[in-house]
Amino acid sequence: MKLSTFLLLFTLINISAETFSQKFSFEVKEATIKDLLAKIEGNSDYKFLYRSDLIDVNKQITININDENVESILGRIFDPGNFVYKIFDDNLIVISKKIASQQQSVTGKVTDSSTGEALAGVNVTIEGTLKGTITDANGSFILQRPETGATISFSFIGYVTQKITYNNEDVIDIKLTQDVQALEEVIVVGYGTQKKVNLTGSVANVDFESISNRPSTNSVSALAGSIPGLTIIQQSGQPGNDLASINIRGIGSINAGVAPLIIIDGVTSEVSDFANLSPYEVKEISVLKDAASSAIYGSRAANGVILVTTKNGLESDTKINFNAYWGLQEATVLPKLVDSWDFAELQNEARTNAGLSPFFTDEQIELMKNNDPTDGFSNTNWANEILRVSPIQNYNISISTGNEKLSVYTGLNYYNQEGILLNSNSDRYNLRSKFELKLNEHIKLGLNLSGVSKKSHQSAVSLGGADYSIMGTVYGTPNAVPVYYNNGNYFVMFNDVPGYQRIYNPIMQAEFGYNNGANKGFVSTFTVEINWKKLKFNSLISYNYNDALTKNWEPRLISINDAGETVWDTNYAILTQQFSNTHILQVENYLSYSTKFVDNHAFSILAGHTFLDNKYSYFQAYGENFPSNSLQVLDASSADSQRAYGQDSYYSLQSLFGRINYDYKSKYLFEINIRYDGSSRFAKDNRYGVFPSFSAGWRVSEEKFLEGISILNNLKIRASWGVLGNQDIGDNYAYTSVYSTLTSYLINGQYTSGASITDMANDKICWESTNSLNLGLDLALLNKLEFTFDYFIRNTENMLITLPIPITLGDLNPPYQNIGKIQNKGWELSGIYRDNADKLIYSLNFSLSQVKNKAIDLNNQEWYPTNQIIKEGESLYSWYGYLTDGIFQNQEEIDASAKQTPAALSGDIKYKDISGIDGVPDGKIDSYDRTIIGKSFPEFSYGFGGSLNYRNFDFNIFFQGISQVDINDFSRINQTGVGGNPKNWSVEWLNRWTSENPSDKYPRLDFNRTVNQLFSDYWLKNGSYLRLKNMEVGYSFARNILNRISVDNMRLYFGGQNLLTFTKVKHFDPERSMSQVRSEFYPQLRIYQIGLNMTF
Amino acid sequence: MKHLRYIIIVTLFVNIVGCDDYLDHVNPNNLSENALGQSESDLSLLLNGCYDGMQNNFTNAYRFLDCFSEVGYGETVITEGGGTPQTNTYLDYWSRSYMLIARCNELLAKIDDIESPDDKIITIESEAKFLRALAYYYLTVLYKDTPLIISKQSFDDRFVSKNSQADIKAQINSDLEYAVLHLPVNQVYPKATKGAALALKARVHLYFSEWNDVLTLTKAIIDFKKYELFSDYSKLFLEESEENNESIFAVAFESGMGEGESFSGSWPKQPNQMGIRPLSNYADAFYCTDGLLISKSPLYNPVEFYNNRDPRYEVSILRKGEIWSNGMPYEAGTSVTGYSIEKYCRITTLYRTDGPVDFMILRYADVLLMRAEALVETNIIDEEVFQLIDQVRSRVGMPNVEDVEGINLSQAEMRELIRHERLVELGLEGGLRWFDIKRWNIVEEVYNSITFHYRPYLGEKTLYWPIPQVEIDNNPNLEQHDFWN
Repeated sequence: MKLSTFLLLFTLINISAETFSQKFSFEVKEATIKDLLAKIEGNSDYKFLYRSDLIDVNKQITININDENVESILGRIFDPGNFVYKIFDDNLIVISKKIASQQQSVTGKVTDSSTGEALAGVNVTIEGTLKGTITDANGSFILQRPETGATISFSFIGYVTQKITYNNEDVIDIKLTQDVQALEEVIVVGYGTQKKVNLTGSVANVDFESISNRPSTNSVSALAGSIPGLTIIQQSGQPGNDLASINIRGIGSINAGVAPLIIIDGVTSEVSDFANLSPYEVKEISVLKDAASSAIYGSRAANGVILVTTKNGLESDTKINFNAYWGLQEATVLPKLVDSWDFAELQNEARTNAGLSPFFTDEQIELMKNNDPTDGFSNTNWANEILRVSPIQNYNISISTGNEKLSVYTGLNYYNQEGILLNSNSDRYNLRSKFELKLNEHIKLGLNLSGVSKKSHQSAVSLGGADYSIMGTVYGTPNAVPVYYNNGNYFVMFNDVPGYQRIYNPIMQAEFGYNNGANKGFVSTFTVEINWKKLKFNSLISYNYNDALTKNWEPRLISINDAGETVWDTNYAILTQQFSNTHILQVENYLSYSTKFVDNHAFSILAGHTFLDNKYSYFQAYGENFPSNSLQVLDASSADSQRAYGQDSYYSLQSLFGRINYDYKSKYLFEINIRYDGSSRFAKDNRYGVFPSFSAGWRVSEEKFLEGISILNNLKIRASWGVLGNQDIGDNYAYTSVYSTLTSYLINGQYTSGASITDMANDKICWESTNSLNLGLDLALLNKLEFTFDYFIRNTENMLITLPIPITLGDLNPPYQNIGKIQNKGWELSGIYRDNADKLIYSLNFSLSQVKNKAIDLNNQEWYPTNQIIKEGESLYSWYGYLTDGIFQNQEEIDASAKQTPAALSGDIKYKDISGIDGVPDGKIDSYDRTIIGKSFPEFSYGFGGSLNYRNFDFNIFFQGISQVDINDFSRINQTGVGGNPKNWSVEWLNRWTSENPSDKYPRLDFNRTVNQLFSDYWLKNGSYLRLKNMEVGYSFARNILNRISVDNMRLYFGGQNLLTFTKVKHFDPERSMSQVRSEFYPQLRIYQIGLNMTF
Repeated sequence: MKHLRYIIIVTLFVNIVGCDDYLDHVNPNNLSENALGQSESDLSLLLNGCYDGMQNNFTNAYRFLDCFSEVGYGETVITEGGGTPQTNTYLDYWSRSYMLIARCNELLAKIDDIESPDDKIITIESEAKFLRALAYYYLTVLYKDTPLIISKQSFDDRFVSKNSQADIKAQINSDLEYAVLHLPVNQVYPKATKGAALALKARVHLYFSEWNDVLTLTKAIIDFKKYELFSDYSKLFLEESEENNESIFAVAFESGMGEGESFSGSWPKQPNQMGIRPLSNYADAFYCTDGLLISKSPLYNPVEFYNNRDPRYEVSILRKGEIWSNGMPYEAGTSVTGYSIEKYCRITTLYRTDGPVDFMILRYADVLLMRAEALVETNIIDEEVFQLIDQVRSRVGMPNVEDVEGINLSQAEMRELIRHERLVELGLEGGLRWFDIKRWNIVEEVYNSITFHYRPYLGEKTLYWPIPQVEIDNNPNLEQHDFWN
């Protein structure tokens, strides 16, 4: 921005309405303007300021002035069409030539071309810039003045977007015509783009701009809840290890992958690649949900496809964007555990009930109560010791620039998250540079380079999800344990509690060594696009490199108690380093042609070939016995302890694909996709598969019989059917049976290799195929309201399943078989309402989906994953166990009930006798009494929210929830008092069954009694929740202030994530992945953030 | 030629079009199924895989078997009567045994296809049959009736059903007969030898009280003159004594190469317990040095109860105050029973779960006692019986039977004596005592004698384990034992 312009703008803002009292009367003849102005200056306090190179002050004039004020005089000297002037309070008068940017703003009014009615809420933007505004209730707008020749675009739902070339007008009046063609929105689809109105498949689209400010720890979790049918579950809040899981329309497979295919700028990628993108570098994503839209990706599309498009450079002007936020994180929920003295009582009771001597004496329990850790007993709140409030921050800067020939985008992002768990953190750098060069009118070359570097740090002990993980011990280690001995060593053994096992001190674990991870990724893509008449040729070659390096250091740790005894010694240090890398080469060529016959018949065709080559390599090195904890390199480990491991893995995919589109008057739409895929993962005879899809759309609103209905903007009915494949079984060689050579033995003292079959193989395996039917409806009403409804059935057949095989085969890993059929059936509904009232512009949106999945045919087999069952006719991974009927209160009740083994005692959980060996209740509780007791997959997921703009304020809120799901509260199982694992009790166990307190809720505690730990509905919880996922309040600074500091836009906002949760789940967060059977995972995060968005 | 560069750009891309060869990959990490033939070296590889399969069984699992007799306390879920077909312990032994069996069957199938196998191949075959018999012996002792699988199974053969213990026993005998016939007397340690096959066969017959067979087989072993008692019982279970003349068959382990065991390591104050603690029933069974029970011996001092005891007491059991690693006295507080295991334990915390100590499945002292028992049971109470027992007792400096008890002992008295000797000599060696009390039909009596904890006797449910529930679930042809239903 030129300094003069800046000054000019500065001056023009302060137009004052002051009247000028001083009057002049004089006459000049053939004097210069300069002389005249000097004369006024001489006779008054006025001073004139002007640029003599712009204003011809040497022009001779003759003028007769009679009692006129200075305004009037200037009005006569200068042509108001060409000059402006401004009088300041201090009587300084600035005169300048009227240039394009002379007036800061352009005003105008937008009306409906047919009714003349003012249109409120119309988007007015200057193309290629981020400048823009929205019309008010009267349809009028004020827009920052664009440069002459700039394109101003007026867009409004249900109207044809109008673009005008700015021609230096002060006032623009626009008449928008209702878009009988409905929405012109173009969205990205497989190998191309398509007008939204012409879509026949089910495709959802998200403009990432709207969600990029969310303080999500990765790009995937930022999407949570924004698209119906897309289930995103953040697995934990662990920095750098919080990859969210994505499913589109349920679980489409049992053994093969269930995550959608991710394509970033045309390049096949992993979910983790998407997660590692900076949300600010993503422009938009398209989610291809049905067969019609995704069949062009064939064998990898059975779980849907997510197309990610990153931002591009501009063809004009230079824009700098700066985004930053800083936030604080805390755990969403923490367990409420009993006090240490209560712990001791419960523990003693569990012992006594088992006929064992109590662990703690009354004196020791007294010592716990005084909470003086120096006496060897305490009341330590481990969660407070381990967890903290910690910062999260993100900084992003991007530059877009270009001209007609070359456009450039480059963006740099830095993200840093300090973990809420002691000694954990992560940071990430992203850099993307994109160039697009128009070689001539036919050829366009593109270069897209991106790199990411991510680091994470944590203790060498696993952080959550297992008995002896840090979160496991935070929940489990008794709070009677002080953190340290008086000598400062970690407390790991009670001083005088005979028989009490060694304690896992969470602080010791959190400070035990480190596990450092470093991931680097680099993607380089070169594209060519050649346009020649109606033909278009696209070519892409990309090289994608990823590596991961981890260093896991477990130091030698010795703990000595106050009596000087060594109570814990790991004896030696261990160092493990791992390195893996993946190289992916992708080559793609496709040709497309589109034409129109006799105006009404539009036809386009696309055909192409693609090839993908994936090489993975991994090795690991291990050493132990280090001379000192300060030597943390493998060279320092003892030579005889050093070991190395490694593996390679390759896989390739080759495909042909094509698409035909035809429409008649944009009213009847047809599309056929086909893909012919070959994969190296199958034996030669079964390698290739054909994946077609057919779809049609009928835009009912285009029909004559609906012509007069003005409230109806769009009504479209869609139907599609197709077959998709899945080969993502993680094993590149599953079709071959192999001998493992790891089965070695010592012969004559020498390590001697052995060989044995450890896996059973099946060379007949081929693609899983998913038949997918989709029926959809799009409706737009009143220019304000839009609905999309889809009904779908996905049948996955020939699933690649490893059904459990009898162990008598040799305890082998089961082979894959193409067996069975599962079904996901459901519907999705989403809607958005946009409106405005005066200066208030608002929108409301919601999405709701139901997915029911069911195993239709499993070859008459049942399958029992831990505590779950996969059974024909039932929902996949249903919880499987005993039904319970409260707690046995007395011997009479026990005698009157089915016989339990071992014999039930009062206070035991009462299991229901529902069956027996002959299928009828047989008076005893055994494995035949197990049944389906719950669902592990949520049936409903929903989200709703809204946004509001009022003057400079904006507000966004978004709720997300799931319902109809049961979760297994496994950690409570330890709370029945059975010895072995570290255990503590949550507060409700104070109400366990005792003879004095005949509880009907919590069973008796017993050190040896595992019968109460049987998996039953007692341990399941309703896992439904509704949470305030995101909220953001922003303030955009007024332009007049910003312009002084050369800033186009500046917005300050406050936001938060997971602010409120409504759920029946206690002690831990209800949002967790289906595969998570433990409750003690790294806590989910509540985040409060403050952020800044700036454009220069 | 203005367009040439564009043509080059386009052809550059279009030419990178694949052909089917792109999709041919070979697994770089493993030998493919047909990579192993019938050469001796290939068969040896498979045989090593079999031996490796046996390692899994003995790295720690058979320690737990001592919890089922009066030797130890542990596995309380089962021993206190709470075992169900879903209890993991039952699954562990099952899957490890069938893994070994399948590996042997795989190897034997390859040998079966050889038209005229040479001696070396026949030795390999015999070793495989020996290992298969070993696995079936444990299976049938623990589970009674189980599927008997003796050929390589294809995927389609997977739904097997149960066979009777008699069928299994017949197969074990047939395998062992073959092994006895074809195994060499001497082999590279620790491979199976003729002596190992004889000793295992003797143990099988012993289990079924087939005394004459036991007599024949033990005689053959003794007549080899190959085996003798190791002079120092206190060093017999140490790494330094491996490959001694008493060891007839052992599982080999070594630290630091992925071949370690987890039973021998130590913590600073106590050995690895693997969830088992010796019971006082066992500890109190050790005689005083005068060869009398502690209840009868004048040498017994209830305060210094560890003095004047059978030296095997100190070797087998760690008692309170005894010095352990780091020179620290063992604190009984860390054991609910007051005792810890010492037999097979190393006084070092190095390689705690990756130990180097070989585990003797069959040793000569056992052979001597088996023979003694068979003689007594066939009522041949002659000098040889005394001499057999005395050999074992005198090795540790305990007095001869005659010197303590005289020579006019009834069959019942001799029986008691031998049963006692087996307990103190072979306790904590992979559950031999559990197998003994089962075959002697004294499980109920023994369980009733245990006062330390509630040890109910549930009849056949105590004697024989259930077929793991997961197997019943995944195999429609497999039925649970009646007494477990």
